[in-house]
Amino acid sequence: MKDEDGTAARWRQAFAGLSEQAAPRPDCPDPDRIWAAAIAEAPPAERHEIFDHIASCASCAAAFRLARGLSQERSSQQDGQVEPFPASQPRWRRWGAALAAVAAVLALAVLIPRWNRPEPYRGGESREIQSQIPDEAPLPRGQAVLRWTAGPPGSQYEVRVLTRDGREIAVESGLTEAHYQIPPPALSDVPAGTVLYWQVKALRPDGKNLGSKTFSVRLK
Amino acid sequence: MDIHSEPQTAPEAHDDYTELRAELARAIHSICPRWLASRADDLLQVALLRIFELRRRSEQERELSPFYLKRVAYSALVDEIRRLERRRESSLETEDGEELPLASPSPGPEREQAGKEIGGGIRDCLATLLRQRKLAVTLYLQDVSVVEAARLLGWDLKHTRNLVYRGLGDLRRCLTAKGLHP
Repeated sequence: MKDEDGTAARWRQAFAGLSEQAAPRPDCPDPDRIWAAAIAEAPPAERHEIFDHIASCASCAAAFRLARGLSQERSSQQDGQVEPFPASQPRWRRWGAALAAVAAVLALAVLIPRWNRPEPYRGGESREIQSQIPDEAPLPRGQAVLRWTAGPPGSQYEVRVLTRDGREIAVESGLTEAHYQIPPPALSDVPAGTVLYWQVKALRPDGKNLGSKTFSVRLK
Repeated sequence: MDIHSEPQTAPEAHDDYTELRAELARAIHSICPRWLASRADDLLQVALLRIFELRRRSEQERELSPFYLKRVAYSALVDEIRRLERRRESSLETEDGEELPLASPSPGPEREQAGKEIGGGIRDCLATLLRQRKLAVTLYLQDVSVVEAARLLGWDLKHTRNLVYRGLGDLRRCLTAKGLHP
């Protein structure tokens, strides 16, 4: 399919550009279904349904491109006949080439696709917990207290604190109060100015989980 | 209490993590709308935290493949992007009451407006195409090669190529009828 005057490239760019104003709709498919369609794991009828949806939903169209990008190396390894990333998205192309070595490693560990695979980890949690730490306020090293909005009475909390590079600073579960002090020893070798990322999960008395978004705070 | 002063992963796992982190970062950078660019790091952390939690839960059960972890990270990313999109749509403000920034440069107002018009026209015109043509052209517009589109749609290559060809013709006529000249 030639594109000598660059029309297709402009159309693709304009179509992708719709994601700048995108908003998800109530009928948007679960991300895992988009992924399954992008790697042809889902049955054909299911894939058609997803592609039909992304024709009119810029948010899911962007999610589909993300799934394609992340899974592309695997597909190339599988059938050996997929064309490289098209010219209208050179960034993806560069990305794919740079990850060729990674793809070789990943291909060895890939699970055999199964449509009826174990339930993906999705959490099923609503995000209602909010940080109670003032914005821009650095966290004192000796009194690094994380605070959040409390769940219903009787809730228990689990807190996880990480650095940007994924180093786990602290994990604490079974908390009954909506705050947690990071023990100073855990921060002893963390440089001043480091941004800590933290999340809270509340286990409510009714057995449901409430999750928080990921908060960040700079260490004093 | 479970406090760690050092990473708890084996060297190989740490390498996997580093690769995955880099790959996710590039993916986010590639698809992130301009208004979300300043949040790319937060998006990455959300995805990685989901992975850490999954790994911790399944430590005693089974080894999780890098591809599966990537899929988990993908779901977390899309969930978070949707959450931000909903919030943006409802308020066009951050939680702090500030207007959400456009972190990367705009292509210019005129070009941006033209792109929006064509993009909107394409979306509207796609809705008028015959379903098979619509599916084929949608994948084409998503940068999927015709060979790959045939595989994804479960149709033979010749049929798919024909649908893309005819569908693009329909799309061009529809855009022209709307006064859009791509």
